Formats: sequence, structure tokens, C-alpha cells
Amino acid sequence: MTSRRSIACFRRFTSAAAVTAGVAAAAVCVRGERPARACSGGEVSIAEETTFDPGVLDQPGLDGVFYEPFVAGFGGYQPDTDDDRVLADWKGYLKDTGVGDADWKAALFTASAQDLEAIRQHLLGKSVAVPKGFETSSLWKAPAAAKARLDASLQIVQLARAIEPSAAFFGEEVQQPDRPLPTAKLLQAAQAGATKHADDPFLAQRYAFQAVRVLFYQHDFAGLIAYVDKQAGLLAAPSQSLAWRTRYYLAGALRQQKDLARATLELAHIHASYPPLAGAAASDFHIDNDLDWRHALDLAKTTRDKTEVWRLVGVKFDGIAAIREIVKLDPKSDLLGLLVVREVAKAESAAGMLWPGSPQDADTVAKIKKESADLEVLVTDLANKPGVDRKWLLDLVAGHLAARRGDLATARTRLQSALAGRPHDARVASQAKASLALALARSWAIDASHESELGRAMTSLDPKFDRAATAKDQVRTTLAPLYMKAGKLVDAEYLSPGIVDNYKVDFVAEAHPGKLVWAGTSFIKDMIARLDKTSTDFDHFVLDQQRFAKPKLQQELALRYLLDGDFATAQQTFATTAALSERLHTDPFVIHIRDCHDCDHDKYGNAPWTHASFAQKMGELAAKAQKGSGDDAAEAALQVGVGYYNMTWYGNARSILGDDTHQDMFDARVALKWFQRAFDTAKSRELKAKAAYFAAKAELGDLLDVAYDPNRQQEPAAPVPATWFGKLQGFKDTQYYKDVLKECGTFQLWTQSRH
Amino acid sequence: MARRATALHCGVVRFAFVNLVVAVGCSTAAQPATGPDATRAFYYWRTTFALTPVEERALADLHVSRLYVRVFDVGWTAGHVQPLGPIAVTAPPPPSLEVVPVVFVQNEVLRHAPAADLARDVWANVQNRSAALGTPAPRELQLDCDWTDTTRTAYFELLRELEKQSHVTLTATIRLHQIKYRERTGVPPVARGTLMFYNMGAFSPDPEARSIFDPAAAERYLARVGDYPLPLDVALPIWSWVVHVRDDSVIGLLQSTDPGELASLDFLEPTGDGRYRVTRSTFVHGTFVRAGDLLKVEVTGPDETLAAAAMLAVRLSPQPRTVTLFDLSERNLARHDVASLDRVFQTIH
Repeated sequence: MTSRRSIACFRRFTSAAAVTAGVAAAAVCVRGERPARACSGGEVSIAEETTFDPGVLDQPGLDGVFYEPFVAGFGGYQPDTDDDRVLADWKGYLKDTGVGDADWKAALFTASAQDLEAIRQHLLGKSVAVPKGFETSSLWKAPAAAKARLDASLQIVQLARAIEPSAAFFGEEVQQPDRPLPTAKLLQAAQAGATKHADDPFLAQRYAFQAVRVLFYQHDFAGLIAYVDKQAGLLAAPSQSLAWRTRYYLAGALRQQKDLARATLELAHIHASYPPLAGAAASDFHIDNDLDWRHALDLAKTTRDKTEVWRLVGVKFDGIAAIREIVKLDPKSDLLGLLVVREVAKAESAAGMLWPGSPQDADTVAKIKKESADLEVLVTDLANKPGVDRKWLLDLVAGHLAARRGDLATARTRLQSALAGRPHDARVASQAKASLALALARSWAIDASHESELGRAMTSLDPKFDRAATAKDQVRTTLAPLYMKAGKLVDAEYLSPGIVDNYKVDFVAEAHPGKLVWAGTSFIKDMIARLDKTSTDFDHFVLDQQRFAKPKLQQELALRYLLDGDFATAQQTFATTAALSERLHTDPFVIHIRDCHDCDHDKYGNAPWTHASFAQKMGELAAKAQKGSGDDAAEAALQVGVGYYNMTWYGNARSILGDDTHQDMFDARVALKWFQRAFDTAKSRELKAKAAYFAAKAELGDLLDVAYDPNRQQEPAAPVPATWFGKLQGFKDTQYYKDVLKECGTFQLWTQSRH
Repeated sequence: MARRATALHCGVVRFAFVNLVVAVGCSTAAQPATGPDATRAFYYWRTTFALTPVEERALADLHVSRLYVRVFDVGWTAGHVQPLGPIAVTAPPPPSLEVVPVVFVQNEVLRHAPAADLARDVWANVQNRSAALGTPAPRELQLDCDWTDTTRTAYFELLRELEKQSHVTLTATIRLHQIKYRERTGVPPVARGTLMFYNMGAFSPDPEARSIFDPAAAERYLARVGDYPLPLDVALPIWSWVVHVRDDSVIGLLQSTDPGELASLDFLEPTGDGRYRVTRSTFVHGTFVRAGDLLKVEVTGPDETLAAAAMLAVRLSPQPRTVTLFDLSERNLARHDVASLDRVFQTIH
């Protein structure tokens, strides 16, 4: 793991360090201070859990500090986080040289130390050799007057490259003890460069910045602090990227020197003022004790200083406490917006368990509701204060929170106010629609007015809106139980697939669950018919799902007829509609004493059986069984039983019902009836023995179905199909009995236990 | 529709039956464990290794011969396997102490990394850290993981791979629920298990509730200790911590805070029930506490540790074992003097 991680990190670093702005995570790197929640299985993102889009803030670069419980440490430090800004700096500096952006980017990010030296030599006419990849570079077309500037630029890149091997995350130094410390010569070169280029602020700042890096990686933290303090003017401009990275190094050095108060203030400034490093600053923020905390607050002299420190606390530790403190200090602060949207996400994320179908604990529900209510009061009070920053944002948040608790009137008022305060903002408009839809769903009445308004909001929601899918999903799962309760089962099922049978077949340990809604052909027909009713926006919203396509529903209808024993209608449905009929990749009429699902699929994978041909054969066999007599009829009944048995989970053709029908594939009782019929009809003792054994299989399937409990703590005693094993015992004289006794261990054990 | 994985095949049914026989067929009657003295050990769980004089003295006085040292956690970060918090060694332990490296495996990594690759990386890092600790060739490696239904297979595969690649004796920590529900959680394929006889109660704002060692909760797990299919070593608690409560809910633990510190902090006021109320928002050992929060102290003193040892002693089968105290620190030694810890070691063999 060391090597993989290190290589990845190094690659990232080299892509940035050459730019001179490439800070390899300052000493303050403390990772994972925010505990990641991604440990419960499944890959969930915050966008799937919440319906408020923090992007409405419209502050590029702040994404890293949005609430995200699934990423530890705010994503940590990313060395190439502002490559674009660095390139833009260079573009301005080299604008008169004629060098193309891509060519300079290659020199900056990918050229090796040897390449850089070769480029310089060729540029200065001292060598004809050109490094690979630079043969057609625009570097060579630079006018003579620009060559000095280009060469000076390449020299600072060379210096940065020379420092790279020493640059490391502190945590990684433990794994890479051989990482060299930067030499005094490098420090001297950096400081001399800053002096030499004093009349060129662009280069002077870069050289000074390299000096900061060297001091940091030499672990000369006191020296670094002194240097930054002394060269503050030089390091502050013109590049803002370098200026803030310098302060990031400074914060690291201060922390190493145990000056946590000043380190906190630096990190707070960085966090508030330079979004590309906001996440890293939050990651690195650490206060140990009350003394440090009081020193930090004392050091924060101005209101702005104090609010910046509190915002850092709010992002990393306690948003609500921080909002309250900032409001006390400066209710108009522009630092509140981020904290507010973070707290909305936090509240919504916590409330994920409140959605229908999720486990609910009364205390937890009450606690989460109270926290959300407290937040709404806080935000509403703030929105009502005169002159607050981005009142529209506060209204939008307050409207959203009201929507979530089903207060349609308040939600409408706040959302309209938000839209009025922020017209022409597509993202805000989408958020308002999504929030309104949630408010409607949570205060629902089944009438044309509600359906019409919700339908409009949902169908006009911009699909690019970051929370569109989650908002729609939450509206659907809120409405589905209401339609279910009102007896509108078809709409309920379209809104939330599986709801009509309450997932009985899939997830609940309920054998013989009674008549499933999906076991009714009329329901399936209604499901098919509903697909053609598309006259309103609400219709479109209800049917806007991927689960139910007409051919698949028609296939399920045909299979339901088959399970009901209506072979003719099953065949007719396959023949006259678009019902899906696919290859089964097995032979559904094959059975063994010891079954092997996968072996049969391997052996009969190319068998021509399809859903339709299977239904047809079942019909023919059933007719033969019903019309005939004696062993021929018994053999046909046995085959029908085998077909039904193989359709269950226990047989070799469970693919007939597949994973996406809604029928109970664990119910082997239909097969048992046909085996019973074969047993009763057969004259031959061999055939009777076979029918008895197959019936035992079906009986055992049913016993397992009844005994199944997904929450069991211990493996229960295996059930034994005693009824049909008992009947089989009456055929000891048959070869089939002997074959079963030889092959089936369960039967052996059972017979031994009888003696 | 795919509900369960068990098909109705004779072979499967027979296998289930055999499992059942194994599961119920070998219980033993509870009796006090008697046998040779146990090997005495401590867990060392800090991220920088440097024994203080007080700790060195305690190890010597207690005749402790082994240290289980957490060398790193294995986590999954940004799409990569990553060793987290690798131990930095300021001064290696004295040669008289056997060092056993311990690796804590986060469940998430087991969902992603192939066992062979993971084992290779873990072992390489263990060797690296062990060398720094002065034990380039450890005789034993212990893995600590609270595996789940969904990570069990991957974890057990990792253990097999590690054994194959490292050729050292592999041991694993065993949590109480893994003893009780062994049929469901499985038994790890290792030479020995170390039963963690702590963390047995739920976190609760209730002043009376105990989460580190709760005798009543312990009793519920003990019945199945005697017939666990692995030879068991034992880990006992000697640590204390502070539970962070807000609005009558537990929101965290202040693991670095000794309960004894709280009385002297001017931003806390005692509530009279073993808890303290925060009077202004500030930080306590890196944790932000809000005005109005409650801090509940939970102390594991000599009596509790001795009680834990006594409860276990009568349930364990007599065999050579290691008894390890969690964890070595001056703070814990201040609450548990040498004499009381010696009694603990003598109680359980």
C-alpha cells in the first residue's frame, strides 16, 4: 500500500510543484479529522441523501467544504487544486513571448529536470538537442527579446523541480524516511533569486516562495516564520495563489512551533478568503484546549477576524454554535451562508431515516425534528434581520425547511421571497421548485389541484439540477403510501415500485404471504393500461420511471397465467402481445436426484427453450395429463410438476421468473400438487417412487420457505420432508429408491434415524 | 427476487446438518481456570512509541513480558488502501519485551482491496514498523477488526493470505458478540483469539450506564466463552473516558480526556450525578464542547478490572494464555497501581 499511495501522491505533486506554487501539504496536515461515515456498506453520496443543493451559494471552489459525511478530512490537501490559477498567472507573465499555453504547461508540469536544462540550452543556442515532446514547441519561436524572460522563467521552474524530492506530507515521511532534506544551497538559490529579481515582483515572489518551501522541508519552522514576516510584502503579490499558499505553509510552521493561536488565525483567513485551500485549512484546524482557544480568540482583534475563526469552528466542529456566535458579532456577515447550507444538509442527511420504509426510532425522530426546527427558527430569525447578506439564500433555506415539515403556506411565502430576491438564477429556481414539490407532497391531498401543481413542478425541474433525482425520489416515496392507502394501487406501485406487496416476496421472512397484489392478473393488466394514460403532467411524473416497461409487464402477465394453470391464456399472451420471451439458457424439464443449478446451465446453456416455448410445452403436457390415463398421464403430470418446480428458487430454471418479476418464487406448492397427481395416477412402481421423491423435494422447498428467517442468529435444524420420504419408503423394491438412497445423504440420514 | 442463497440440494442440506452437529456438540461445563501463570502483557495504542519512566517501571514491576503495539490502521482513502496513523518510534522498547505488532483493519478497505494485495501491503508495512520497534522479525502478528456479515469473507481471506505470506503466528481480536453469535459471524482462521472483555454496553447519557465494563451485560455473553473453537487469550480494560452528551443524546467520546482533569476546568460545573455541565463553548483535548453540553465520566478503576478478571476466570478452560491490559499509559497507571494490577494478573490464568 505504501508504494501505490506514494506513487499516486508523487505524481500529483510533480504536476503542481514545478509551477513553484506546488505546496506539498504543509505541516498542519491532520487527515480525517472529520470522521467518514462510509462504512456501512453501499456507496452513498450526499447528493442522494439530501434535496437542497449547496451550489446555490454560487461560490466556485467551496465544494470541498460543503457538508459531506462520506469524505474524511474535507478531501484533504490537493496539490493541484488551483493549477488553473497558476497557469493564468504565468499566461499573463509570458504574454509577450508568444509561447502557447499548452507548451508552457508541458514545461511547467511534465518536463523533467534534464528536459528543463536541455530546453534552456537549446533556447539560448548552446545546444541543438531538443527534448522529446518539445520538437515543435512554440518555445523555439519566441522573439529574441523575450528569450531572457523565458530563460528566467525556466530557471525558477528548475529550482522548484529541484526541491520536489524533499517535499512530503508529514504523515508520509514516516513511510519514506529516506526523503532528503533540501540543501542549504537550494535555500541560498531561492533567497538570492528573490533579491536578484527585486525589480520583477512576479519572479521575486516565486523565488521567495521557494525559500519558504525549502525552510519548511528543512523543518526550520522558526526560520520560516521569521522569513515570511520579514518578506511579507514580497510574498503577498502579485500571485494570490502563491500568497495564500505561503500563509498555508506559515500556518503549518506555526503549529509546529506550538503557536496554535496564530496558526488558527492564519487558517481562518485562508479558509474565508481563498476557496481552493478552504478544505485543507479546515482539515488542518486544530485547537487542543481552552488556553489555546482563548489565545486564538484574543489574537482575533477585529470582528472579521473573530467571525472567520468562528466559521472555521462551524465547518469543522459545530455549525449551529458558530452561526449563533457570528450572528452575535455581525449579523450581516457573508460568512454565514456556507454554514447555513451545511447545516441544512446535515439536518436532511440525519433525517434520511425518517423517509418511508426506513427504520424509525421515536426518540431519534423527535431529536432530528427538533434540530431541524431549531435550525429553521435560527435561519428565519436571521432572514428577518435588516441588511443581512443574501437574504434570498436564507429565505430559500427557511422555505426548504418549512417544506420538509409539510408547512406549505410558509414554504410558499419563503420560496417566493427567495425567487424575488434572486431572479434569473436557474439553480435557485430549480431549488425552489424542488422544495415546493416536497412541501406539496408532505401536505398532500389526492385532488386535481395538488396533482396539477406537483406535476408542473416536477416535470419542469431542470434535470441538470444537482438534487433533481433525489427530490423526485423523495416526493415519490412520500406520495406512494398515500395512494396505497387510498386504494390507488397502480399509481402507488409506479411511484414506489414494490410498495403494493410491501416487499413481501423479496425481503420479508414471510412464507405463504397470502394473495400478493402482483399475483392478480387484473392488477398486472391495470399496470399495463396505466402506461397509456399520459394526458397530464402528473401522469408523466407518475410514469417517469425505468422499472416498468410494457413488454416486461406483458411477460409477467403471461407467466402469472401460467402459474395460475391457465395455460391457454399464457400461450395466447405470448403469441399476441409484445411480451418478452427470451432464451432460458437451461432445460426447464431436467431434474436430478441431486440438483445442480449451475451444472444444468452449463450443460444446457444452448438449449432452445424460451419463455413462450416453455409455456406452450407446459400447456401440452398439462393437457396430456388431464386427458390421458395411466403411466402416460402420470409421466406428463410429473413433467408439469418438474416445470413448476424448476421455476422456483430451488430448481434449475429460476431465470423464468428472474429477478425482476414480482411473483413468489419460493412457493413450491403448485409443483407439489402436480407431483401428487403423478403419484396418484401412476401404475408403475418405478414412476410412483420417482413422483414421491420429487414431491419430497417440493415439500422440503415449502418447509424451507416457512422456516426461512433472515435475522436468525443460528442455523436452524434442517427440515426433513417426512411426509413424502415416508411414502418413498414404501418403494424399497424399486431401482429408483435404491438410487435415491445411494445419492441423497439427507434421505440416508433420515432412513437411519428411523431404525 | 433473489432472497436467499441456499438452494435445495441434498448436499447443501447435509452440510447444514453437519454444521449444526458441530455447533451444538461440544459445549463444556464452566469451571475455574487453573494452569500455568498467564503471560502478562499490555496493549500500547498511542501513535508515537516512547515509554515513559513510569511505564517502564510498571512493566518491570509487573513482570510484563509482551507488548501488543498498534503499528497502524489500514483504511480506504480516496480510492486507495492506506496505512493510517503509522506508529512513529522515538525510542524502541527494551529488548526484554517481546513486541507483537497489531494492525487495525477498517471494514471499508475489505470491501475494495483484493486479499492477496492487501496482505502483501499490510505485511510490508508491518515489517517496516516492526523494524523501527527493534523487532524486524516478529513471531506473532495480531489483527484487530470488527468484521461484519458483509466483510467476513474478505477478512478471513485476508487472514489466510497474511499467514501464507508472513509465516508468523497469526492472532485476532475477538469481540464479545463474535463469541456469542459465532455461527453468524464465523470464527477467524487464526491460531489464537484475544477476547476483548470490554466495550460491552451502549453509550448512554444516563449517569448510571456503563459502556466500558458492565457486569450485567458481561454476564449475557459469558455462557459461550468456554466452548469457543479457538484458544482464547484475554484483554481487560483499565482505561477511563468521558462521554459527551448534548440534548440528552450521546454525541461523542472524549477518549483523550481523563475524568480526573474535569474538576479543575473553570468552564465546567459539576451537576452532582457524576457529570459536568459546560458553561462556555471551548475545546477539551481537541473536542469542541458547546455551552450547555454535559460531560459524563466513566471510570474503570481497580475494582472493575478485578471484577472483570474474576468473571472470566471461572469461564475459561485451563490452558496457557496471555492476559493483556488495555492500555498502557501513565494516566491509566495512575488509577491502577502495581499491586492492584498484579492481583488482576493473578486472578486469571
